[in-house]
Amino acid sequence: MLESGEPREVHHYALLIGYGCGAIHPYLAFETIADMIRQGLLVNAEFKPVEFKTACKNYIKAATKGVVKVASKIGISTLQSYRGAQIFEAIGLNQSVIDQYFTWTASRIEGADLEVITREAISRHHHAFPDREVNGRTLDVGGEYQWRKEGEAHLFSPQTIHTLQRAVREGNYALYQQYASLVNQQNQQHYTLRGLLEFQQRQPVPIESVEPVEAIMKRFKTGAMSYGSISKEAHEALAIAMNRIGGKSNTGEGGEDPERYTWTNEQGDSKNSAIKQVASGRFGVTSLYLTQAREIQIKMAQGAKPGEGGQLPGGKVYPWIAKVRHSTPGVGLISPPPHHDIYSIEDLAELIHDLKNANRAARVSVKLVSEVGVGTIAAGVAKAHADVVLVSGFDGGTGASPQTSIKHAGLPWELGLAETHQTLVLNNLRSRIVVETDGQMKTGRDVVIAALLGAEEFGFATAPLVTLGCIMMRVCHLNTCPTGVATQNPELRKNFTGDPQHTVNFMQFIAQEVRELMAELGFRTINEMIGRTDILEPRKAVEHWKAKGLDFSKILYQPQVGAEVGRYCQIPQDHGLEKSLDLTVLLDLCQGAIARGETVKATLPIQNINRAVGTILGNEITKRHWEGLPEDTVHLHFQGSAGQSFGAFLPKGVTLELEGDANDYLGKGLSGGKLILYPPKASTFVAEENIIIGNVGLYGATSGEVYIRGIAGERFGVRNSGVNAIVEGVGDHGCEYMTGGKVVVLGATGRNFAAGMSGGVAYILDELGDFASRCNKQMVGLETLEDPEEISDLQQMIQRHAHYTQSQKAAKVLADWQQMVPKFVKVMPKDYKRVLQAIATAISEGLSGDDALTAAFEANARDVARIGGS
Amino acid sequence: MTILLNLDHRGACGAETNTGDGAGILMQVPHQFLKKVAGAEKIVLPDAGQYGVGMIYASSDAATREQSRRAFETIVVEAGQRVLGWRDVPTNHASLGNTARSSEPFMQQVFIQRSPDLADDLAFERKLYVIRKQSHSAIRAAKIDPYWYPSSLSCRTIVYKGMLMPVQVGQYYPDLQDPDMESALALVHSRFSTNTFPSWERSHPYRYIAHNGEINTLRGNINWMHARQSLFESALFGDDMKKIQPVINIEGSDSLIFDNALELLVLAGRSLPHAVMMMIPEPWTAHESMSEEKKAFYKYHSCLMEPWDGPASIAFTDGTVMGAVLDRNGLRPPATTSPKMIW
Repeated sequence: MLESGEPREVHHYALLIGYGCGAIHPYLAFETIADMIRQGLLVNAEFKPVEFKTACKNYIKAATKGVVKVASKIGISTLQSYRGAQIFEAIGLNQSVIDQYFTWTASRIEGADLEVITREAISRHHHAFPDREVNGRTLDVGGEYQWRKEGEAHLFSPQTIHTLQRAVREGNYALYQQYASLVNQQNQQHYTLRGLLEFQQRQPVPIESVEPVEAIMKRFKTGAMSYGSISKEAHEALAIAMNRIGGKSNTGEGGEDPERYTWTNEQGDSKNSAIKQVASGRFGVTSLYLTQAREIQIKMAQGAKPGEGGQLPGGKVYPWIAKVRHSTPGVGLISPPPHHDIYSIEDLAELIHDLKNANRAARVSVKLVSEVGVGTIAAGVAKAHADVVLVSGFDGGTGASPQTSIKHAGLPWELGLAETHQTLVLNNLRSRIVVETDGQMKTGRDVVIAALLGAEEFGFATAPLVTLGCIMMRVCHLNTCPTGVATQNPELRKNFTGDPQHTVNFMQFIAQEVRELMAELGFRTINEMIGRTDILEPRKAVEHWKAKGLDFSKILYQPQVGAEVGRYCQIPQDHGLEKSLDLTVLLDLCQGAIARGETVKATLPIQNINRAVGTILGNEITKRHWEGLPEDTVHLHFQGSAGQSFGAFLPKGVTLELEGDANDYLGKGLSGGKLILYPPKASTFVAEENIIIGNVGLYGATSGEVYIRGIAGERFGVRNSGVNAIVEGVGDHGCEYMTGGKVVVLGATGRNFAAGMSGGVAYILDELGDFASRCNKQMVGLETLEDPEEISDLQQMIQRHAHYTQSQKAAKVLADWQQMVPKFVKVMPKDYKRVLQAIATAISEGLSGDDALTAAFEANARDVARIGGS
Repeated sequence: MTILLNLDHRGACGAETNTGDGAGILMQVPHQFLKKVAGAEKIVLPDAGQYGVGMIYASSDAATREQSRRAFETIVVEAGQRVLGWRDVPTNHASLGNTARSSEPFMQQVFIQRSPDLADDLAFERKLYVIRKQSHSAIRAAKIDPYWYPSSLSCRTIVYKGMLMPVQVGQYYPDLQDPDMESALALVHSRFSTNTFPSWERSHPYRYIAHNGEINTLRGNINWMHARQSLFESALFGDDMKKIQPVINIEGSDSLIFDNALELLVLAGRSLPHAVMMMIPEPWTAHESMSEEKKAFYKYHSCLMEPWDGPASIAFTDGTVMGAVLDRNGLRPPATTSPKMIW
């Protein structure tokens, strides 16, 4: 049990509990609250002083919730397990301190010992209780989270922002150099690890012999910022800029408007983002979206907020955002913290495989966050056949990330990158995967250091936004960005003054600086530089007393391996696609349909080793027919046990009928196709009492139809945003995070049905009348069926089910239809219902199409009863 | 073995396409088979259950092996048991990649006769456990043989595993092709290493489990086990309790460490399902339909042990019963299938 004046923030409590504390009494925090009340600084909504007891209660509640959130981010669900779990890495602590006080904690760069810690404590105490009385303000102003004059230093200060913006607007390299030297100088003043490293003197080469700016820029990327978190204008400007220079912009999570795939102008610009991100929400991830990618990025974690999902509050889901996300305007969207098809590395391998099937020409990249052990995980990612691995540093992220995460989660990219490169080289895996890094890359010097530590591609996020006008107000989450960069508000978006050329200029300046440094260091190509940590050395004159104990040997370590071991990517991964059923059989079989839309029908055997069946076929169809083909153009009847991801990303016009059973991830990302499943005709069991498909069916599906005669496993329909499906029973967590479509369950559900469900409808045949006890009613209401039109729609859907699958259960329900109707429970998300009503009102008032959506959105935004976001 | 082959895509291999992350099989002690092959080595095995068999990795250097065998035999004698003999397990590494070969141990089996004073199978299992733990300290930790690793030592189960790909398991161990190799149950696993690197030892199955997933709370669980072990007391173990420490082999992966803790709980007298439920409790506090008895069970055991939490699917067996458990949030997906599925 700890009594101390120091703990006050969530991170402090998390750390104390993580190291075994059972109870904490932060008396100074409470005394501070009392003092603030005395000074009149804490008032309630009526401007009356808050009760001390209430204030303390609120403080404890907030701190507790924060700790629970931190634990849940790393996948720990009980405080009992979090206590003593020591899920921390120390940065800048000497091993002697670690061994004694933080036993078994990783600390890779050594640093402060007890003497330094004592000195700092004394100086802080001295600051509070000086020898002589001083007048006025005696305490620091702080400014940990936001830049303050005389406060904690930040890499982007008003001065650097201003200089950079002038440089890119005027296309003035001299000004850029001024900016770069300001930033590099600040790096040195102990803000970053790279600032503590310097280059060794080497024989220079003439700059003409160094690879050109154009080649260097191809290695540049912009960060994943979703259309939804930043404005359309900013998002498109980044895409245009990166396409101009042959680099890559990133859609971020949240889909992309297909109009951007074809848009162009007289300059030949394109708004198509080269990198399409696939995040846990799977918003807008369709066959077409994936087909249009040059690189597909699986976001395992975000550097700025590892382990956390995202949330787009209803007020930000404008109609145009909802469109690309296949959701409903005004209804908040939740990205679950994990990918529900990835809980361990072999699942990640499966997703990589699925995405590679969905677009064989695109590289598949996996985004990891810099943390201890990332090297081992990156080796797993390389073995899972990813083409690129991104090690993302902690200091990325917009102002929308939670503050505990911005400050205390994730590590500088220098640490993660060095570990990743070393581990990959050591296991001879480096030669088959591209290593990319990002996290507050701001200058050419940063890029050169990243290359020397082992990266060959480089991401920029904040700086490109600054070139487009961002002034780091850190209000991204409030939708009030005054520069029109990080807002959806149409009025504020008018303030956007960014021009893609400004970003182009920035990238050119960076590449130019890289090139100059390369000449100085005697490198002609980036590839030669990769992993050459021998060129780096700790800055000799480290002036700061606290930085004296740092030891960079672990970062600068070179694995001892033979010359045959590659140090940058030079061998393509073997994805094993040529063994797939699609390439060996289906493509030839369906050639007529792909090329000319002819109908194809066939019966084929299938085995569980046949994974992602139909996905390559779907990709080939989507390439030529963006909207898919007419219903049932291709009809394939399989007999046997299907492997994972059966029918993943299947487009419209393809029907897969499976007589047998299927593994996990059936119909993942279904994009218009039709899936029909029933048990083998010769089997002897009762279909509606047996599980016929594995877990996580229809994850991230966007449209299509599914008929399953039998029970589905856990998490059926998770993140479904548009598929109509019938199944005869589901496991736990059915329809989790669903945002659209219809799910009919002709039988029992497991526990926690409809958790996080914000859209779409589910109908449960609740014959025992106990469904309500298994439904998570936080976001949904339970209703009975009344609307005749709706009842008739449901009846027709069940008729189709009976027709396609010969379901006896469906036949029974239909035979006794009038008696059955009252037994159906309709699961209706509350926000969704409100918005649908608002749309109906708008239509009845004579509006139509987008106008009706906009009116409904605005009406809903004013409604204070909304649940999904404030 | 067919199951193992058809799940090839769930495992991994490294830079070499013929060095796997690890694969193997756990089954009941195949008495008929062992009687036959031990007989060929002039070892006469007693009735089934009256002897234990160890599957032990050792150095391929004969002199080192001789030394470690003698050290092991001393421990067995001190434990009041008798070594019946050693068998060199035939292996065929023709299909293995260089990485697997470069760290390949020598495979041997040891047979230990059960002393008549041991009351039951479990008492014998406990003895074999103490012997195994002591041999680790006396042979491996003492650097007599750096390869020393008993992948199983039991009168009920035996494990054949290694740094193999699924297809290589049967090729590497010709034993597994023998028609007399019989078992009423089997546990197979193909590994994709996540937080540790592949090695012969870290392949699954372990002595009681095969695991798919990750234990996120591992550091804490290790810390607590470490803090608790000096207080361990058991009438069943008596003075042997001190000989088994450290309980946790921190060289291992999360799966091995979980197995270490589970094994101790089982041998200290809990049933296997009981011990598993203790380590991976369901979310019981707010469960709307859980019986009061079960809640009380979880509540009581929460005072004894913190949950081992994280996405995990664990299949377990002690050679008499078999089961599987999911993590508390049901994140890992296990599937069941029945022979009634007829094509």
